[in-house]
Amino acid sequence: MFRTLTWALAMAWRDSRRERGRLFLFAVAVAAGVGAVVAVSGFGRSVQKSISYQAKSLLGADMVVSSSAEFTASQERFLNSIGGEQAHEVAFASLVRPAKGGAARLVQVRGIESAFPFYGRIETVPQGSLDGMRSGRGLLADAALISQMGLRIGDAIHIGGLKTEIWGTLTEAPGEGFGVGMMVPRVYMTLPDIYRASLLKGRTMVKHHAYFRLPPDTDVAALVEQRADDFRELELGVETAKARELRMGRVWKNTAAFLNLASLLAALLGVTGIAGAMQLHLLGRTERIATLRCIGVSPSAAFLVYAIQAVGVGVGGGVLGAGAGAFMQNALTVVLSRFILLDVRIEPVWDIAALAVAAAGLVSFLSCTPAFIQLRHLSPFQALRPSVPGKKNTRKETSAWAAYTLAGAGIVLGSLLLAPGESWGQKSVFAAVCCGAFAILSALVTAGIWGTCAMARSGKSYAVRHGLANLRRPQNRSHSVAVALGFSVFVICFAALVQRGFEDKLLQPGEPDMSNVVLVDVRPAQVPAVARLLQSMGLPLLESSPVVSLRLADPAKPAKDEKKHPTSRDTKHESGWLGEYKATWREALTTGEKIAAGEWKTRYAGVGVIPVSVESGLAADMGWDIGTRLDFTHGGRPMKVEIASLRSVDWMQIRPNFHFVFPPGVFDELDGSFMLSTHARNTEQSGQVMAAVSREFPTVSAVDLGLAMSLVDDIARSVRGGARFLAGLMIVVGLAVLLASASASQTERLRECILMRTLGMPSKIVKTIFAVEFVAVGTVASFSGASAALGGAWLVGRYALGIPFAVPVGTLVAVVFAVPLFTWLSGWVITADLLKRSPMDVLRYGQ
Amino acid sequence: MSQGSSTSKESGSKVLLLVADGLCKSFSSGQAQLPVVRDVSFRLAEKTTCAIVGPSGSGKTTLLGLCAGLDTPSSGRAILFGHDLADMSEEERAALRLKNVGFIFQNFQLIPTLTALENVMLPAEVLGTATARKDAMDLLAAVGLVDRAHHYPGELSGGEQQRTSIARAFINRPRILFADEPTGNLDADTSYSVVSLLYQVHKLLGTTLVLVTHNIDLAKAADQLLRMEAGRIVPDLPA
Ligand SMILES: Nc1ncnc2c1ncn2[C@@H]1O[C@H](COP(=O)(O)OP(=O)(O)O)[C@@H](O)[C@H]1O
Ligand SMILES: [Mg+2]
Repeated sequence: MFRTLTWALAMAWRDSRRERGRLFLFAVAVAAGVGAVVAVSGFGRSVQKSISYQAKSLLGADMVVSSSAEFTASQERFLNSIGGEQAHEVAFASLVRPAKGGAARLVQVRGIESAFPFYGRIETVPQGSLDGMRSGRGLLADAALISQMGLRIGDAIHIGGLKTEIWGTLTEAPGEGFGVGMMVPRVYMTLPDIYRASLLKGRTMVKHHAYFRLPPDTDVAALVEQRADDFRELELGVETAKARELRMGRVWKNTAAFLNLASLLAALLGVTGIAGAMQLHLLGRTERIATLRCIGVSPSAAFLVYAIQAVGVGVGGGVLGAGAGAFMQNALTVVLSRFILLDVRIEPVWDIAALAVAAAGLVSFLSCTPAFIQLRHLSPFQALRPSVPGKKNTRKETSAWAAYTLAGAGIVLGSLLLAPGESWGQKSVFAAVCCGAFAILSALVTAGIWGTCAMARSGKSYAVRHGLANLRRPQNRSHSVAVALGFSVFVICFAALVQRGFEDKLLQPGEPDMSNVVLVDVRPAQVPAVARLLQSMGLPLLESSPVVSLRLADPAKPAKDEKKHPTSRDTKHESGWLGEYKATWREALTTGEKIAAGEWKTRYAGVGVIPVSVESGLAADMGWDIGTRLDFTHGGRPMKVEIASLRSVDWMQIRPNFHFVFPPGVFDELDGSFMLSTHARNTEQSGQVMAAVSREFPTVSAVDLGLAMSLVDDIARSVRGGARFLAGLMIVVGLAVLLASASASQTERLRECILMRTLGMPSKIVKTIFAVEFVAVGTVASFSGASAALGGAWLVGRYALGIPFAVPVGTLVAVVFAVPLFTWLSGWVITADLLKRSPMDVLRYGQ
Repeated sequence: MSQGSSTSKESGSKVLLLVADGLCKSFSSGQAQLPVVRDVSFRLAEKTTCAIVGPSGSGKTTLLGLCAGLDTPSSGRAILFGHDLADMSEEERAALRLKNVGFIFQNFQLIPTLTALENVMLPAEVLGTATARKDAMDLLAAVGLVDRAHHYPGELSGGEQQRTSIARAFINRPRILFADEPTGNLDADTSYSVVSLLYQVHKLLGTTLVLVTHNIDLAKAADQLLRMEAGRIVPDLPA
């Protein structure tokens, strides 16, 4: 057994002699595909990891527990029982007044312990002013506040009864909460300072936070789940970094699904694309195998030799690809990390690489099964009479079908293994998409070849007729070549189509119609003037929404303790600590919103209960549902509302969001204030806007959503980088497959070419014949591939990814024309080579 | 497959190697059955030579294939070394051929990616002979090709290729050698040298020789002459 194996290995190696270049080409095709999978999965993993880290840095901790009152002794005991490290923080709204005189402004004061943050950093200008703040020399304030109040670092200000100094500008700080309530400038100081100055005395709306750093392997979600009852009983709110990660991760997950799909297609293209070529290579061994069998090599030993070759190409290509993929992953990560803030670290991909190599070997073997079956049933007689076609009997037909089924199963299995979906369901969808694409493509190519051959009969020129007729000749394998090529066209077009759609949706945040600077507390009368100001600075007025503040007076939960309203579980919705909800009214949903349940009501008759729409996250937190009735007070006036719909808000679209949306006609325009938003191209511009606004409209607050925006931008850029990279790789795979296919049929062409020349045909005609044939194959391939891609992208975009269908005409046209051009070129190279070869070579080498 | 036990004896002296008993072979073309070999019977003793002659298309190659177990007969039996080939599996027949049967083809059938030496070594390597390389060199020397040992078949002339294939056929010391028109692709002089080489080796090693040829002169030198016509063996009319 062992001897047979070593012999087969040696034989497989020797047998490949003169064709190693070709086999290497096959391996390269596999490698490009496997490389794509490894690089993309590894890259996806890196980004996922960094999103996870980023989520922690945005929160500053693994978990934050909050209460609307000072932690009681029992709450403290509970917190200590959780373990890990803690850092406490208090947050409250307060007025600040410059010591030199001037208008007071509402700010959000945060008192922190120096252990905070556990992840991420508090960034200040000048650097190091954090230490000054921590040692109690002053406070850190948002740039917005400093510019709005016309202050400078070092100026003294009053907060409540405390007089202190602005020690630095806060540029970035992690922390709990992000929402409408946050649209107030922040001021950071130390917790001991707050207690020392008794700033909390007499305040009702103080939020207490306990930030946790938990041991690295803690399953935070499970911990929260386990202790859910305790949290509820003790009236503690909790938010975890994991939950945020999921929200951000959702975006990335869609993206990764797309990238993975594309890389999977590349891999399949690489592996199955050369399957035809590999089979051709194997079938070219017919006489050799017959001879071996005559000599007395057993069928299984002969099979082993060629199985080794097939697996060798797959595994060799796989290893090559895994190495290249790991390298490309690093390169991609390094290049990308220059453009994004996300701290992307390179993650090892051993498992993916091993899986991909194994799958490549397996699929490469299985996709050769039809050839193996043919060779297995080969009669050694064919050495005596090479022209004898393989015997046809029903047993063999059945086994051929079994082989095709097996090969198909192998491809499905390979795609299932490689598809990095989360569930088997998801993986099956990938597999189905790929196999479906293959089947459809094959049908399209058959139709295309049939149509072309029909045209051939009416052709005038002999060379054209002959060239087109060549498509139908079995040994030319036009069908497999066209399917392989068509598949690469399909993949490139599909990727381009889906990428375009994806970008259309995903990249909006970075595009100029997305708000990233928000102006709040704009009085109705100021709106035109503020709009003019924006216009004069060349900034668009993207949104202008009326804002009203409502207080909840829920009869279901009688206000035994008003300050604990709405409920202690409300931690995501910062307005909780202001005791207020932000509401607006309008007729239509904005682009980032979707109705999750109920019905969007735009009319209010003027009497009776008012139908409103609630943000679904808030509703879930509060335990509200469609039909829940709530009592609000607005400016002291009670109003009854009923929840008519729940809105889910696309996290991608970081825009000012409202808890409640009323139908028009409930409030008076002049009742509340307005919220305006614009898009600043960069942080410099956003600083200018904020300064100008606060100069001209001192009562208006301007908030920069830049940080969160930049994270979304980062993700979008990662997507774009990944997608471009893949498209490039896909072309490499396609070309490798084309060359492999063309090279595999070279022997046939050589024979035909020599024969034609022996018959005395001028080489010009021979060239024309081949050119016509190659261009025809390329054209059939590119049109089949492109139309399959159009259909596929539309379906996938519509039903799987939920993205708009946009046709990148340029790419499509380029690919559709490039492929025939390329086949023509490679045909030219090959025939030039053939015409150069002397007929003697054929007589000598024979096969 | 021990040689001694598996051979039957005839008239107490000669060991019978090959018995063809009513061999028939037909190919189906569409509905019709095309008989190619019809009821052929003959016996072949150890250490003898046998020539099969007949016009092209008379079924010689087909008969050879049936006798060597490359194909199965439609009816009748082929018994090689006492084994009914039809009773053996593909693997068993392969093993039998590897050790006991040599082949020479009209178009040489050397493996183009193997050197002459490697081609000759091949059957011995498969068998696991430790001295494969040395044996192959010895045989190449015997056929006068030592200096071409490392050349590929494409670099050898037809006669050289056929001599290489003869060396390959003998490396496992087969008891029987089938040659299907071994000189069909060679000129007269080369043909002569190739066939005399075959007879030489036969004499030296006692290998039973089954030779298909068109050349009646070459055939005359054989112990037994089978003339085929339209799939049947016809009586050999004295010229
Ligand atoms: N696989 C086959 N199917 C149909 N006919 C065959 C097949 N193999 C051989 N024949 C026919 O059998 C006849 C004998 O062939 P062959 O044995 O090669 O003759 P020879 O070797 O004497 O020239 C020929 O007419 C040939 O056409
Ligand atoms: Mg013949």
